Amino acid sequence: MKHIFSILILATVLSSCERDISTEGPSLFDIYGDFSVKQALDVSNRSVDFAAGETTTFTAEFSKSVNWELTITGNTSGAQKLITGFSKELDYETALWDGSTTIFPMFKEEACSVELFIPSDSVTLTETLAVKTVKTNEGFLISDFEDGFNPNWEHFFQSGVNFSTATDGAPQGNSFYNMAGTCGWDWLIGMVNIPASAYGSSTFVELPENADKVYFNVLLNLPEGITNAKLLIRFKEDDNNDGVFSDGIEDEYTLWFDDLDYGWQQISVKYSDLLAGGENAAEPKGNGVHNPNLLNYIDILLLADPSTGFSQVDMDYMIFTENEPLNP
Amino acid sequence: MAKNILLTALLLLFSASAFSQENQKKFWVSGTARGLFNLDEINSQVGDSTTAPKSEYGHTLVDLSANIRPNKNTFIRTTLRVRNEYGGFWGSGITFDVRELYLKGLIANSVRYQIGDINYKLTPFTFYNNTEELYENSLDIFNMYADIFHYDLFYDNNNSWRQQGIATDFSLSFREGIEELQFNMFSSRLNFGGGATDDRLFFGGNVTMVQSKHFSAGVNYINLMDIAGTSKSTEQFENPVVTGTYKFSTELNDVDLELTGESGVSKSSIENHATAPVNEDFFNYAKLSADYKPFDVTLSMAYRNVGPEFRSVGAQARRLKYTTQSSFYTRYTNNEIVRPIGMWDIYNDASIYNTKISEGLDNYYPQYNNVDPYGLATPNRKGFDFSLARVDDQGRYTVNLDYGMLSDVIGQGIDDLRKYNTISAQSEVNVHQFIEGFDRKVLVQLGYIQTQTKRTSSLLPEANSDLNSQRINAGITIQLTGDLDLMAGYESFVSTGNDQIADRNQFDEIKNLVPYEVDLSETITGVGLRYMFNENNDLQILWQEYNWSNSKYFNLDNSRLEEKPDYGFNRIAVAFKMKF
Repeated sequence: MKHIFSILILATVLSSCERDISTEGPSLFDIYGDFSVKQALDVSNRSVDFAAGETTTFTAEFSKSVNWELTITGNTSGAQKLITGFSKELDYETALWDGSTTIFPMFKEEACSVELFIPSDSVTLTETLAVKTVKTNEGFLISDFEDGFNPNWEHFFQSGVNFSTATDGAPQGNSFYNMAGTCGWDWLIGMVNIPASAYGSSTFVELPENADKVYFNVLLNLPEGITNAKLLIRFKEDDNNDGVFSDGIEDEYTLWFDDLDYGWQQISVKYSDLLAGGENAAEPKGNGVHNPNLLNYIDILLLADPSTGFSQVDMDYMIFTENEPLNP
Repeated sequence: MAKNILLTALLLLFSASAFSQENQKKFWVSGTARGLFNLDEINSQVGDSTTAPKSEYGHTLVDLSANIRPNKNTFIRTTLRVRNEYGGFWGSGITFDVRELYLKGLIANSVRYQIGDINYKLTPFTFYNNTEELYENSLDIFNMYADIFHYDLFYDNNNSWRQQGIATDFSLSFREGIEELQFNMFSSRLNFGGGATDDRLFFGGNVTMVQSKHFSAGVNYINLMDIAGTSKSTEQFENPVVTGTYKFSTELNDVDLELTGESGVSKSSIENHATAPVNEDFFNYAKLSADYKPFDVTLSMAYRNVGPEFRSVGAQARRLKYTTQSSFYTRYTNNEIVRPIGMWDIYNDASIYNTKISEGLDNYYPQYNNVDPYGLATPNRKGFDFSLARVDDQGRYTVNLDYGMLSDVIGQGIDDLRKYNTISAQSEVNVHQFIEGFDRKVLVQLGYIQTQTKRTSSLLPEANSDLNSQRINAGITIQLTGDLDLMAGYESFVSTGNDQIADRNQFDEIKNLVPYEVDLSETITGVGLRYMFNENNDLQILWQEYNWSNSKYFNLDNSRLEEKPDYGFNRIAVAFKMKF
């Protein structure tokens, strides 16, 4: 019995310990009260070397959870990155910027304005930062057109048509490829043929074999007012490894665009999701297996109904990425 | 190729087994086998022409365990799992895995050890694998799938966690004063080092002094620790916990009395981190049980006080992950919205369960358990639990009545404390034993659990909480012939109300209190046949129907109410299980 008393005394002593905190967590009076900014907008890294893998985090704290919209705007380029959320604070989990772009063009090395807007209370907080170096993207770059048209590529333009590089409003860097013209007798206005041999081999051997891991990315622009443009991108594989693509017996996969939105937009497609047949999907004619590493040619065709006159689609930053779509 | 590997492995196993018969069981093969086939159909209450309504899938698997006893003090076991998905032929869909590997033995006839895979537990406040929500008191007809993944995930071993490491135990006996000193120690590695992540070790043990059959006391220590220098990281997490336990038992007339308890302290910190807090706190737990033998009645009363900053990764790790997305019929309706998790997934989906211990208090499902989601070690709880149990000495029935009355230790976001009440009544009745001359076994299971979380604030009405959950189940198992049973069951789960749920950051600090709401109703009905070849081998054919409805579905990942149409499932399943 004396043990019972000893233990009960011990238990009583232990349970009589006091804690020196009275509540935990944020005050519910704040959460259910009026909105207020408890910690102003701040930027963890004000001169960000994105090329070196740096990031920057925006922090702020409110009295309660609210919807918020964070906009980073390049003062020179006009590029925009949008981050939105619903939370009580901005931190590295909710408001981290890796240098990527939401609205083209991509950011340049430039000063940026940062605006944090809380719609429910019409509150705006501002900050600034600088992009010291721009974000680099891992992948196999087909072309960003900064050095003009690759001389190892081939092309066919209808009479009177001449695709060329242009600089006004490039979404990435300073140049893009302007595909435009009029053809009154044929649907095809012009065509660019990109052979793997332009990169040193008969196939794009740098690409992984696994088509689920390869993404084709390109930036396209449909200028305001253009309603007739159709774009066909063909991916021709050398299934039998004889160095050339043979029509009818080897796989040709396609991307078909006839309803692009106006303005610059990113197109990213997993290679294994490519279909054969262009506008009308069909069975591939080769081994039926998506083989990015056996890709022999990429063709880009601008098409339009010959009765509709002038047509145009611009193109920039064509790149294959691995495991995930381009995060520009 | 896969077929050849399988044949070679089987040949080796059985030839070695045959050889072993001549060597007094130095080698033998044991294992389990399972075949499972499901035909599921989803029923959405809104038009859904996008989701394929039916899905058939299943698998066959064999766990072949090679048991090797090279000498009388050493035992080695390795288990090879061969699994074939339903529809896999000629090697496709077949996988081979080494499911477990360990060796154990005895050193100098006094020190036991085990190396490799170990199942380990200490106390509910140090190292303990708490049972997941809805598992306890589940009906025979609904727990078949849970039993399967409990086996697959190594949960089926007395609340222990499967670890990979080393364990040892030994004891010292004394002639006077005390009977025995027992020592238990273990160490396991949770993370591999290199890159940006340190090696993370989890280790500990206990020393228990057995003074007599009436009194014992012990000290437990565990620590989860990052090992500095094993990676480029300069920040090291650490969570030591020290507790003391005691047990006193005596007999007063016809009453067996037992007092057990545990008290301890914890610290959780990240070395070299500029902003990480140091969490330190303590807990006390004591339980007094009285077993009145003439009536086969056991009455117990337990008290606990667990501090809000008490952290013990080994005891607070949850089996059930919080997720808003299951791996099965992930999306539904023509809008392909994410299908919300329900009781069906908890019963059936092994992918939403944890097998690893990690730091931090994981999110949980308030609708299923808002009272003690981290078991007895749930932080910020104090109060009493009462239990009354009767097990009929003739085996005719068991009855358990439980009542819990807990509260917060300190308020969350406001001084007012939440109160948590639990009422539970469970019974199993062998009806045939009440009817003379009735020669068929009839088992009836009945269960009722109600939990309530309530907080009333006179200063801030928005801080009021009132979250109620209720689970009712009833099942029957009827012996049709010698080995053939008919099983049927019905379960209903309802959860309504609101609470403010803690949203924690990476340091476990509460950064927000989320206004959670729920209006959930679930039912599951089942009928099935079970043929028992023997106690280690049965075949079950089941039909189940499930319905889910929640007009206030709250997504804790984004802290928002979302509209989720009602849905349900139908299932026909055939399951064959065998141990050999």
